[in-house]
Amino acid sequence: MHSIDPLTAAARSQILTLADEIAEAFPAYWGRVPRTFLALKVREWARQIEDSNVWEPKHVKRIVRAVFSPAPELISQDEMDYVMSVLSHSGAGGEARSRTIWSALSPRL
Amino acid sequence: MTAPTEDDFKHWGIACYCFSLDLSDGLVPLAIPAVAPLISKQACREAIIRNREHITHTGRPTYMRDLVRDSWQGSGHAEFDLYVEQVFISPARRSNLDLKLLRPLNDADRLAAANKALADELDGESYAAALHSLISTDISQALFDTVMEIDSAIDGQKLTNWDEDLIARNSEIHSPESPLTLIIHTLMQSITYDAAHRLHDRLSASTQQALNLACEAPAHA
Repeated sequence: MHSIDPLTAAARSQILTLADEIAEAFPAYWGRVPRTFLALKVREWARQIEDSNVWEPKHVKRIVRAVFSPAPELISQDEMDYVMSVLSHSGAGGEARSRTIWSALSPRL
Repeated sequence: MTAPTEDDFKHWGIACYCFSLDLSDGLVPLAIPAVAPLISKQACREAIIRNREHITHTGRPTYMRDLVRDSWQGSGHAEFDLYVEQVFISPARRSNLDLKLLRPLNDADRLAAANKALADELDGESYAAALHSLISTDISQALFDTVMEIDSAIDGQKLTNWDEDLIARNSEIHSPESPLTLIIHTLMQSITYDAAHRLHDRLSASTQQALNLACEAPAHA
């Protein structure tokens, strides 16, 4: 997987690639959604997370993947631990975003 | 007519901010097809300017909705007014069916219940997949292309003078990186509601009833 450059996180090809990866990872949930619609949802999250460059590009990508998991059993414990670790070390600038992501992930925990 | 509340004041201000931006040109036909972008933009800009003048003279803001009404030139005002009312001021007033049908998408337990309710009729396909498959590809593509253009303009710092000035003035209230989030998010929600209704309408009455019960089940039952 490629990293998302924080300055071009909304770039077409990167967003579409991430959407394709999510559809492939969770086919029963996202497999039949129009590619551009899933890409819009991915873009919304990526932009919300990275718009102040609180996290590194690799963090953005992994957080987005976790948020798009339809059920807790589909996220590995390692992946969830990683995301939680990133969120808990996001610093003052990331507090609001951390809360948003926590609220999205908590039903999946 | 009831007096405008603090929320009415706030949300009409946000609407004027969004629709006065050149960045919103491509979104207006998708959000409010009956409104020409130039007409809504001009009315919102005039309202913003008149509001600034009013604040200078009186120290108080005025009600942007009334300024937009006064400034509107041409047709489409009623549609614009309704859109702002429904999307900016009272989005929670969506129909019960709208809100109910989307609940399983954000709740694993409700999704499992919906899958069970639809198992026979959808031949084992998940509710989410069936709903997603009915989302309009053409509208998604149009919205995606428009949003990518908006993001490119923002990220590439290719903003018009009006947009650059207004976004900078409001940077503590609205994200400079995503100034039109509300409109874009609402459009995505509407596309999803439409798909949910199409799926619901295709189901037999008994399956509809079973799905409704699954959607109404308490969260994390």
